[in-house]
Amino acid sequence: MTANGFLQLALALGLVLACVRPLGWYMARVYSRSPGAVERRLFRLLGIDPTAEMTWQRYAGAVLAFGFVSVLAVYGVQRLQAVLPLNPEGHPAVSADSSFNTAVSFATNTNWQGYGGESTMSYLTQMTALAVQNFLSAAAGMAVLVALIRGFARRSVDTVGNFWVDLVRGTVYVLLPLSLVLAVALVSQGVPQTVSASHEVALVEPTADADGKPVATQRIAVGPVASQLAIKQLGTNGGGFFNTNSAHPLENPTPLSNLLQLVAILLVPAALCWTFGEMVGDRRQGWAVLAAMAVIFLPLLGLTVWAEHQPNPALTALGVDQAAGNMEGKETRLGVPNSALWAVATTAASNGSVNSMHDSYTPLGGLAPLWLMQLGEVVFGGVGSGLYGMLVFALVAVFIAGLMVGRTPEYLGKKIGAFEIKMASLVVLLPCAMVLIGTALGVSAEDGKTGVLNAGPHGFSEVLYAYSSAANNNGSAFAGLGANTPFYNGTLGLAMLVGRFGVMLPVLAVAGSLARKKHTPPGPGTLPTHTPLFVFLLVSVVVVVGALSFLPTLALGPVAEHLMMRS
Amino acid sequence: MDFVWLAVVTAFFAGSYFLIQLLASLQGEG
Repeated sequence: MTANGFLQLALALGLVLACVRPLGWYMARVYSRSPGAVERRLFRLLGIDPTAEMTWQRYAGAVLAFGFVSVLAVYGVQRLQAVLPLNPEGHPAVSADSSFNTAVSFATNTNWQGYGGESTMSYLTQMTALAVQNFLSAAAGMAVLVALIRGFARRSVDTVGNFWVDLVRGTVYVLLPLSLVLAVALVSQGVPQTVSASHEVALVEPTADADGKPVATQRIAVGPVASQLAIKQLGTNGGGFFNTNSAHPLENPTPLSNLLQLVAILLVPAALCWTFGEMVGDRRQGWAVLAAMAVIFLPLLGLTVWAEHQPNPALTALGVDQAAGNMEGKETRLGVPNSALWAVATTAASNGSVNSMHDSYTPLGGLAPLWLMQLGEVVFGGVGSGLYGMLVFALVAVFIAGLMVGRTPEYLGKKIGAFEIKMASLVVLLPCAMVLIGTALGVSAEDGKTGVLNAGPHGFSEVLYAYSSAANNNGSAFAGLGANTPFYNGTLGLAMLVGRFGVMLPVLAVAGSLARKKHTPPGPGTLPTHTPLFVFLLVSVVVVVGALSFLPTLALGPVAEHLMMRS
Repeated sequence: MDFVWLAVVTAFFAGSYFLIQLLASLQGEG
C-alpha cells in the first residue's frame, strides 16, 4: 500500500477516535439529564410521562409494539405509493413480498435492499417510510443499550428507564442534529436534495442498445438523497437511495464526501463506548470495550487491504495490468484503500452501505467482511446494538474467567448468575442459528438455488453472505444473488426479525435482572475489567465463538475459493 | 398476498410477546 493510502486510512480512523470522547460525553448527558422545558412540552404533546419508569418487561413490550407499528407503516406506504403524492416517476406499488422484506429490513435497522431504490420507491416512500425508520430504528437500538447500561449502573431497583423517553432523546438530541450537519455538508459536495423528477440529458457519446436502436439520451435519477444519506451512515442503516449505494457518483461524489461518510459509519458506535464508561462511572470500562473492538477490527482491515492489493490470477493470465490491485467492482476514483476500509467498516459497524461491490473482492478480501458480520456485529456494530452485543460477550468472558479461578463472576460490581448466562447464550446463538439454517435452506431448496447466479464456492458464499447480513442486521449484499423473490424476501425477512428482536428481548431481560441486584464492592478475587488482560479475554471469547460457529461454512465458501484460485 | 405477509408479521410479534413472559418466568418472576 502506498503512503497516500495509509494516510487516508489513518485520517478516517483518527477522526473517529478524536470524536469518541466529546460525542460520547454528550450522549451520556442526553440520556442522564432531567428533561428541560422544551422536552417537557414535547413529551406532553406526545402523551409521554417522562417520570414513568418501566420494568424490563414493559420496556420490551414497548420495543415490540413500536417495531410492529413500524413494520406495518412501512409496508402500507410501499403498497399504496402508486396512489400517494410525491411520485414523479410514477412508480407502481411495491410487490407484497418485497414490501414485507423492506418493511422488516428498515424497522430492524438492517436495510437489506432486494430492490433498486431509484427504480422502485417513490420520493414519499423514501422520505416518510425509509428515512424515518433510519432514525427511529437506530434510536430504538440506542434505547435498548441505555437500558442495559442502567442495569449495570442501578442498584436494587426493578426499572430500567422509559423506552419512549429514550427513543425521543436519541432521535431529537443525537441523530437529528448530527444528520442535519452531515446532510448540509454532503449537499455542498454535490449530493442532490430535491423532489423534482429525474433529468433527461443528451449523451456525450451517443450509443446503441442491445437491439441496435440508437440511444442519444439518458435519464439521471435525482431525489431527496442527502437527507437520507446522512442518517443512513450515522444510524448504521446503510440503505442507499440509489441501487449502487455509495458507489453511485451522486450518492458519493467526492473524496471528501467519501471521508465524511466513512467517519459517520463508525462515529456513533465508537462514541457509545465512552457513553457506557461515563454512565457506569468508570470511563476505563468504555476504553476497554473500545480497545477490544479495535483489536479485532484492525487485523481484519489489514487482511482485506492486503488481499485487495493482490492481483487476480485469472486476470493476470489475460494480461490485465493490475498494478493498482484487484480493481474489479471498485470505483477507480476511490481505489483499493478507501474501498477496503469502507468494506470492513460497513460490515464491522452493521451499516451495510457499500462504495464497492463485495462480490468482486478476492476470496480472502471478502472473507473479512463476511466474518465481521458473523461475529454478531459486536465490533463497533449497529448504533446501540453493537455495544449491547459486546457487553453480553463481556458477561460471557467474566463467566469463563470465574470458572477458571473458581469464583463467582462479577462485572461492574454485579454478580453474574445462571439467568444472565442463559440470556447471553440466546443472544449469541439465535443469530448464528438463523445464518446457518437460512444458508442451508438457500443452497438446498429449489427456490433458493434458482436465485444463485454463480456456481461452486462463490455461489455458496453469496448465500452465506446474504443470511449473515440479514440475521446480524447488517444489510450489505455480496451481490450475485437474485434475492427479490418470495423465497428470499420471506426467509431473509424472518432472519432479520429474529436477529433483531430475538436478541433485544434477552438483552433487556439481563438489564432488568442486573438492575435488581446489589452492588458488590471489588474484592481480592474480582477480575479487573479495564485491563489489557480482560481485553485479551474478551477478544478471545468473541473470536473463538465466531470461529467455532462459522469456520466450517467459511471453509466451504471463501477459503475453498481462495485455494481453487491459487491452485 | 398482503394477508399472508401481514399474518407473518403479526404472528412473529405476538410470539415475541410470549417470549417476554417466558424469559420473565425463567427469571423467577412468572
